[in-house]
Amino acid sequence: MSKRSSKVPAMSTPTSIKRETTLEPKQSIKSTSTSTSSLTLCQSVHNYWASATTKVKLMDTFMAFLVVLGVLQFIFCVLVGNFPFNAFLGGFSSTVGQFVLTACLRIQTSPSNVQQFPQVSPERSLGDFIVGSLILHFAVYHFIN
Amino acid sequence: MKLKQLTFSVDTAERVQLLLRVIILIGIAAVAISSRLFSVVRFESIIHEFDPWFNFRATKYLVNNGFYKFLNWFDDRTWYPLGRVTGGTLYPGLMVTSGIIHKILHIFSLPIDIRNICVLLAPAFSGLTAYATYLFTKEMKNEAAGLLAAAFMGIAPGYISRSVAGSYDNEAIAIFLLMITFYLWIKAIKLGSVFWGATCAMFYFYMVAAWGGYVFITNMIPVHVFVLLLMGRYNDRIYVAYSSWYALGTLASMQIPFVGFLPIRSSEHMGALGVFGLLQLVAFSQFLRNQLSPKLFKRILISSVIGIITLAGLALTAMTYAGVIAPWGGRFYSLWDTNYAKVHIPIIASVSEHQPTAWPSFFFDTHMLVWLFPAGIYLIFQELRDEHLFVIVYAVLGSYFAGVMVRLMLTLTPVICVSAAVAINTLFEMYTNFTIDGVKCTLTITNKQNIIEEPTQVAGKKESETKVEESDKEFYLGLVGKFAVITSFALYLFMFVIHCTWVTSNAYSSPSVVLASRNPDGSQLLIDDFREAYYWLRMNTEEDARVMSWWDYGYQIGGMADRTTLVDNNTWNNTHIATVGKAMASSEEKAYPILRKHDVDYILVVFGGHLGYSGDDINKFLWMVRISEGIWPEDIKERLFFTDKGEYKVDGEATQTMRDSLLYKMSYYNYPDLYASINNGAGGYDRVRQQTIPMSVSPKLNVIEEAFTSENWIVRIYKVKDLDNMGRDLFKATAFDEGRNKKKRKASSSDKKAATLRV
Amino acid sequence: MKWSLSFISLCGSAISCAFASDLVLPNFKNIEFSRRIDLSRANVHLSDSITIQNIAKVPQSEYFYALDATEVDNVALFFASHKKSQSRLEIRDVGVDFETDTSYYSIKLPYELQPQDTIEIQILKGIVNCLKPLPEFVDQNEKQFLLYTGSKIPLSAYPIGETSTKLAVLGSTVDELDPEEGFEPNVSDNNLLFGPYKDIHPLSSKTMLLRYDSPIPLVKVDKLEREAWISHWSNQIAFEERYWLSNLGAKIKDGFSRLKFMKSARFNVNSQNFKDYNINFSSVRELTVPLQAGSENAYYTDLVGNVSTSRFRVDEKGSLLQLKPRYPIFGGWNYNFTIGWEYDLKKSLKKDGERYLVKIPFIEGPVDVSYNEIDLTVILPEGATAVKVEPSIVPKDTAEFTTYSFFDSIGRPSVKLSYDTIMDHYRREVIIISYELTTRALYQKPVAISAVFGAFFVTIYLLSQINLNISSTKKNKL
Repeated sequence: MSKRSSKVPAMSTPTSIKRETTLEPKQSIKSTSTSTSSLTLCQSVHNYWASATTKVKLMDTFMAFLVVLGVLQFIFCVLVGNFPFNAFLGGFSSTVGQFVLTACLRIQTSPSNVQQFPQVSPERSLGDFIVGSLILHFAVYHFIN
Repeated sequence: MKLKQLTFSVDTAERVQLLLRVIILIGIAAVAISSRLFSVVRFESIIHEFDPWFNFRATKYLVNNGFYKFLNWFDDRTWYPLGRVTGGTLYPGLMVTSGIIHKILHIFSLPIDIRNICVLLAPAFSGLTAYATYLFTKEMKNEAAGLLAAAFMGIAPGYISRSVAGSYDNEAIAIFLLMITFYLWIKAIKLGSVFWGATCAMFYFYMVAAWGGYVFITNMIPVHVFVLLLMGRYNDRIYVAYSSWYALGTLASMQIPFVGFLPIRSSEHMGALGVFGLLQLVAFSQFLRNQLSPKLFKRILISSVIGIITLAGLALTAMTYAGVIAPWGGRFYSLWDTNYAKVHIPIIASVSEHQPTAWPSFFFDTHMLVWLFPAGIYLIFQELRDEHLFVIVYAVLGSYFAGVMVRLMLTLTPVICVSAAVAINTLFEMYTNFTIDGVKCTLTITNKQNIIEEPTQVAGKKESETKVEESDKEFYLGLVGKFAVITSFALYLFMFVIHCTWVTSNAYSSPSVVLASRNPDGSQLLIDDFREAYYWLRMNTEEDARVMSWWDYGYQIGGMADRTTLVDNNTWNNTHIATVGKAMASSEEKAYPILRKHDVDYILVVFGGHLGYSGDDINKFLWMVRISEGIWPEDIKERLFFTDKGEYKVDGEATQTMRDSLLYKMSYYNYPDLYASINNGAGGYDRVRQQTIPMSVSPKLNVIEEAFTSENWIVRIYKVKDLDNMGRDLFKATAFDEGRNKKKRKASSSDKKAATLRV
Repeated sequence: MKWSLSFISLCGSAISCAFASDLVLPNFKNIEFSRRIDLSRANVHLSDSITIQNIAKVPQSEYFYALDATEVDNVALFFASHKKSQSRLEIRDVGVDFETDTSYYSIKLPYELQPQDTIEIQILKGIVNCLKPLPEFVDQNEKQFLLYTGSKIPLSAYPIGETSTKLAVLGSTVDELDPEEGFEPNVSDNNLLFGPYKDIHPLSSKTMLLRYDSPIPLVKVDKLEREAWISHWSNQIAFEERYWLSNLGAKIKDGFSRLKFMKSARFNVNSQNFKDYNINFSSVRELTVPLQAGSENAYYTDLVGNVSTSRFRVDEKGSLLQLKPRYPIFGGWNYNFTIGWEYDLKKSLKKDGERYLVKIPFIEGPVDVSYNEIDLTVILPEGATAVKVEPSIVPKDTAEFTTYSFFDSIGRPSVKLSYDTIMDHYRREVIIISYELTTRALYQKPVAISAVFGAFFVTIYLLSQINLNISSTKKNKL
């Protein structure tokens, strides 16, 4: 499992809109179990789809991808074993870290949160995101050796 | 027009204030550094105590062999014959810091000795700590409080105790890192910025590299977040700050070989992980709340909460049972139950700094700050912003830990300084106003501050400014009251400074390697027995000689005598320590096989009886007995070292076991004879235990012989005899030699072949 | 130049040839050869006084002096002088005759000696490592006995008319091992006299084994690193010396007993009555280092820090550094320490046009010691050029290199001179170093330092500017 896999697909995500339906795995599980509320759920997904900007969609897709990747890694680890433990840990934590950082970026850039972040402009948050990611991937790189 | 003028003057005033602040901070740093130099002035530039000697030795290794060799350092000169994977079992932050400083100075071709860098590192970092405290307190209240806190931090004995020049220990830089990490955390949570969170994580990483006490931060920050969540104060800034800190900090902290996978395995770190997960869930639920209809959201929330709690609980128990998550460490248990260590782990309990704190030491270490501390906390409660909660949580946790272990007083001191500074600052703000409309002014000042801090709330407060009318009488009465309060507090502050200086110079500036005493004429007399003996070992024994001593002296022997030791202050192998304890507590016959088995060449004991040095081995003997009894209950019995009355005696009434023990023999060998002509041959007087060892019990040695004894008898070194070259039992051999010597003395030495030319 | 240049180099041109003995022609006769052997110090001093006569037909100017080849490595001091004028005579190594194991040295007489004329010359020798404790291990309550191995009659390349040997000892007992009849010494107060013996053939010898008690510790410096830092800025020479020394005297039999040491510690150091001493007295308890007058700021440290037991006395005649080692150094024990002090540069600096001349004492260590190895390093100020070293004693090895110290940019030219087998006696010798140092070079350092600091601040300033730029462009971009 590599640290790079988290970056490369990010380029191709805009085309894979299909994944958006499986947005967060927990959500989808719940929706099947509670069939009565599936209608409202669909509605909210629609709402979201209509309101979100491309940038937000991009970020959400990326995050969803990271979650899938993380889950896959975890399953792989459980099934195959965690022999180079630091390799698994590096891969897993890089996905978690990247997810968290992207979530931060998404929260900070969201226009509804402006008053919560008086001193963080969207530009600044992008810069922070880049700095954070650099540190993260440097650490992961060093961790894996 | 008028407005412009005003802004201009405010601008200038601010500049002047900035300049003043910088000057004051530099002054504080200078005071902090210079008050830590007492030991250098009074003694010399020397590494203090025990642990610093190891750090110093490790630093020298780093400087001489480079970073990568240092990380892979296997030290075969300690824990003979096991050795120690030193590179993987230490916190390298301290050594790397001084190594880097050394390197930088050398680039500028400043050939400063690594020893001097190590000695002066702690004072230098104390200056930085003062600055970090200033920053931290500034976030809590204002610049003035920050300056006060910095000044307190600079001279508070609680912190000085671990950071005088020469006390080259992890704590020397760790407190600075603690404060700066906390400051950055506050900054991150205030601004909700990934950048500050990442910086915080980087300093957290540095802290992890530097001190085992990083666990304090690892738990403080999650607890803060948790409390905020419980109080329903969740906002996205918290999410941003905590997530970025945790994700980066944890990953970075796992780079340290000694920490390794602990952050995801050991229980101490689980809190942080749990809060991280919790925060993700909370954030996600917030996200959903925005996206979904309230009804749907509620259903999903309830079902998922139940599901997650059961899942997490099951997973945690399963993993603990499967052994994936390490159980709680012994030191950790002793944090909760102060008696735990005494019962289960004597080796932890035997260290004086792991004892519960005595009440007077709170006052001793912080003086008046200790009663300003609750006042400050109260004042902080009044405002109770997010960051104030941090101080409160810190105060609660810090107080508890400081009460449990003496050395954790160190982590409490910063928060005491901060809240005391807040208290005094508030007090002075109220009372240093002597103008007629002082109250009015006070109000304006508060408003001004509000303008800076919370521009949105100003409008409401300005209206609250009411006209205050006072009669002259009231004014003068108030003036007198103010004056009295200020004078008394100025006096308190003055006393505080005097107390700090006194404590620093008297209690905390002794290197403990060199002891100070007074000559009859009042001049200072240095007692340098430790270095005398260590240097003798270094110069006059084989390079690979193995020296057995109680573990306290392991680091010093490694650092000063440069000889292989059996056990040292790392105490990672209890059995090995117990072996040494057993050898010390057994009789010569039983000890000799142990000594031979471990290839011991020399044994070093510390004996304070001649001089009255109370920290000697006879006083530590019971711990040796207890620790070895824990492993070999059949061979060593503590009871046998006490007299029938249950007294710990070393004189004529000492038990046979006591008198036969190797340590007793080594301590008192030849000692009664020293007093032969002094007190009518009654025997040697032990000044520590105030008992007289009669000539009749003067120990005889068979398997070892005296190799060196220092000037004041403090350090005694014995050489383990080789097996007799005639195959005799060493006991018989000694007895035989003694008999022969007597005979020889009787016989005249006149049978020389040589011609004596002159007598 | 006031001080005379190189005299001997024992390990220099060793023309070890079989015909060394052929070179020595029977041109001379030693009419009288009297020796004085001083055994009252840690190292043996021999002074020969020889009256020689030219018995050849032609005038002679070269006298050959013979030394036992096995002893040559231990000769730390070897001077010849003319008794009447007290002028030093040049000594040249001729070579070794392996058949008789004899080394020959040629001494150039002050003038050509006419046939049948006589001249009186004096030879001064210092021998190290020739005293051995016997027995090697003694009890701590016993005395130290030393064994001196020598010859009752002097070794000479020429026949000797009459010879006598006078020995001075300090202790109270002297035993002669394997005494031979007819060669017993006469004993007088503190002195032993062998001889006079008459008509000795060339190269004959008679072994003498003397065992005597001595309270003197046999201090030997295994290695000395001596550094002199010349600084024109602080106007001083900073000396630093690192010693590795050991005591070659008798060792303690059963380990050191502090009790016995304390019990016998009440001896009076200045007492001339040495009857009641024991091995404790023969340990090194204090080292006295006389320094040049005007030395100051002395310090005394070792590998584990400052040693507080030292005294530094300054008076007009000179400074005296009294060192008390951490522990008494008994036979077989080693010790290592560092001492340093500062000396006013003005007192030893001479300006000769463009050149500076600095005079540095060769050694200044403790009295009555011998040195196995000395590394003498002189570190000149940064920017000094055309360095020339003129030692009064020829070094075994010379090395030039550059030292980097406080804020150096181009480094300081340094010269290292290596010696071996040196004795305390050389204390009076000096080393003269001359170099050129322009005023520009003198001011180079402060300029370099301020330039570095300037660059530092400029960089900071630029960085702050750049930082601003980045944020503004970023704002523009997004």
